[in-house]
Amino acid sequence: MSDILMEIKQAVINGEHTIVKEKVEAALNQGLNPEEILNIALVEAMTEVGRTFELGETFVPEMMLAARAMQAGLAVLRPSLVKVDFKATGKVAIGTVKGDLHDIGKNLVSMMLEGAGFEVIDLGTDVAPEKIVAVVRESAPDIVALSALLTTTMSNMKVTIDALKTANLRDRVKVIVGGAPVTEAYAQQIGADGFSLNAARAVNVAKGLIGKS
Amino acid sequence: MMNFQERINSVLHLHDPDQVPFAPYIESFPSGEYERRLRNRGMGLVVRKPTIWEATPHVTVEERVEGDLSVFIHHTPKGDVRAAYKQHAGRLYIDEAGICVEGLLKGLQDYEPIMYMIEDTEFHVDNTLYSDTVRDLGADGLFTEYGCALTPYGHARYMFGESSGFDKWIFEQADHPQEFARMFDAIIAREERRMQLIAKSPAEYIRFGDIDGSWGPEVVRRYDLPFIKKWIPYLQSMGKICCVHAHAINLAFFKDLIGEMGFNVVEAFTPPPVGNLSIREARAAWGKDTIIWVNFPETVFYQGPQATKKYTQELLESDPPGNRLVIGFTEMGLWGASDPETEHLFKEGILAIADALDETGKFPIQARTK
Repeated sequence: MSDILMEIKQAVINGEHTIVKEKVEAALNQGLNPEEILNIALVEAMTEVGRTFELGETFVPEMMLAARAMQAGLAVLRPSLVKVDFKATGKVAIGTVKGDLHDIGKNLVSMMLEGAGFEVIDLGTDVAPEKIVAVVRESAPDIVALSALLTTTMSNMKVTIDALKTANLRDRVKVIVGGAPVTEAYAQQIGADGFSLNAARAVNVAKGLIGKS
Repeated sequence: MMNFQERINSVLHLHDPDQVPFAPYIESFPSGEYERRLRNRGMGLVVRKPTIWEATPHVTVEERVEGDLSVFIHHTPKGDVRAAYKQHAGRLYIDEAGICVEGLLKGLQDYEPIMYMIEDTEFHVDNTLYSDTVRDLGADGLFTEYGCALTPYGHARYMFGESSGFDKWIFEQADHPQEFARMFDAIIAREERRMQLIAKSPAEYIRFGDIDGSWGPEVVRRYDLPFIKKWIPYLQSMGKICCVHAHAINLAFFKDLIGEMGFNVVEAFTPPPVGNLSIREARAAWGKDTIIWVNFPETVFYQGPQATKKYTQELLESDPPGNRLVIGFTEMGLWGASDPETEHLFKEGILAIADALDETGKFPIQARTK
């Protein structure tokens, strides 16, 4: 790995968004391949942050600072990626289920997925099943990711999955669920395709479901 | 057979109860027939109220409604700051209040007015609520002093609002560390004044601070541990029983830190499959006299009442003889179950907990042999 890619990666891990922006600009000016900058510096940095998060060495603040830094780099990189016809890893529509206004977990997953090269459609919080159905129909995401913080709203994950079935869209999209009270057993019980214990694992689950792991 | 007060006090005073208390927050169950049914089976009421009140005498607050938002504009001599709360949040939130969608602190310009508000804060004591509540509860409940529910760092966090202000809170600490540090120091000074009054509260049982799990133990050590190490021993020397609200689902990462904090009670303890720390592991880390107050993981209800009963029995048997254990709900309970199917499932599940407590929760609980 070239020095500048290593510096970008470390700056993302450290959450230094202004440094990341400057270094990505410098890397492009040096003629580095934008896909290489994305995959070797930005994506690998977020993978490392996810790894330390799993181990309890970093927590949400460090992850959010890293994600902000990664996004600063991505913003510089995006026009160059368009020029080389870069293809996203996959497309994910994400939202917190109806009745639930919490968004920290959902935002973290969203940022981690972006950091792994996914295109993310963020539907926000309190998302009705009908809205999910409409997005699947209109935008054809590969994955729908549903979040819930409350034990009393997680039942709307099942309602959403059932709505996709009723609309004959269930086989067109994979569904991942997650959130503090959600367990793997519950995910299986309601017929989800995947469960993620936390934002760090969501990337691998998503990649696995679309055959990109 | 002990009444609820005798039972919970036996646990809190390190004596032996007749059985593990069932002690959810009073807000976990809407009052009514179902709640009475549970109370007839020994469930107690845990009431959280303050005896300390605060005011900012030189700040005026203007309230207005903007669509479905209640907006509060705080006018200070150093400038104005505003917060907004979304109303009509239904039964999502235990206190039925709206959810804060716009915190007071949004950027650099807000520090000065907020610093003024912090320094302008005056506390006064009014024990009426305490004496009325204790009188009304009789032997059926426990009064929790709730006037110091947040640590200094927790107060700094909520300056930014709830969920919506979380990212801003993180970024401000990184982007404007000096301003954040000044505000934090001012909060510490204010909270020192509050704690002096808390020490004189007539309430014996004090809740102080929480372990959220979003930020790591090193951050807690840096910001809150010195304050905790100063005040918890002092409160205990004044005869208080001190509790931390440890509702993090990643509590295993905080196990050692909690041991250092020296609280008498660790409440909101959410065991697997939702949390990542078992009672057995926690007991090994915190010793036999730390009271573990379980927040029952409602997710188990989705497996049905029989599975819930079995789960509860195994939970009880994991902490023999059960004299430092309390089962409750500290997060949701039945509150918020808006659809009939979920409500039915939860009601059945909670009755299954009561069955398990009757059958397995009697002191002394025998260790599970298999």
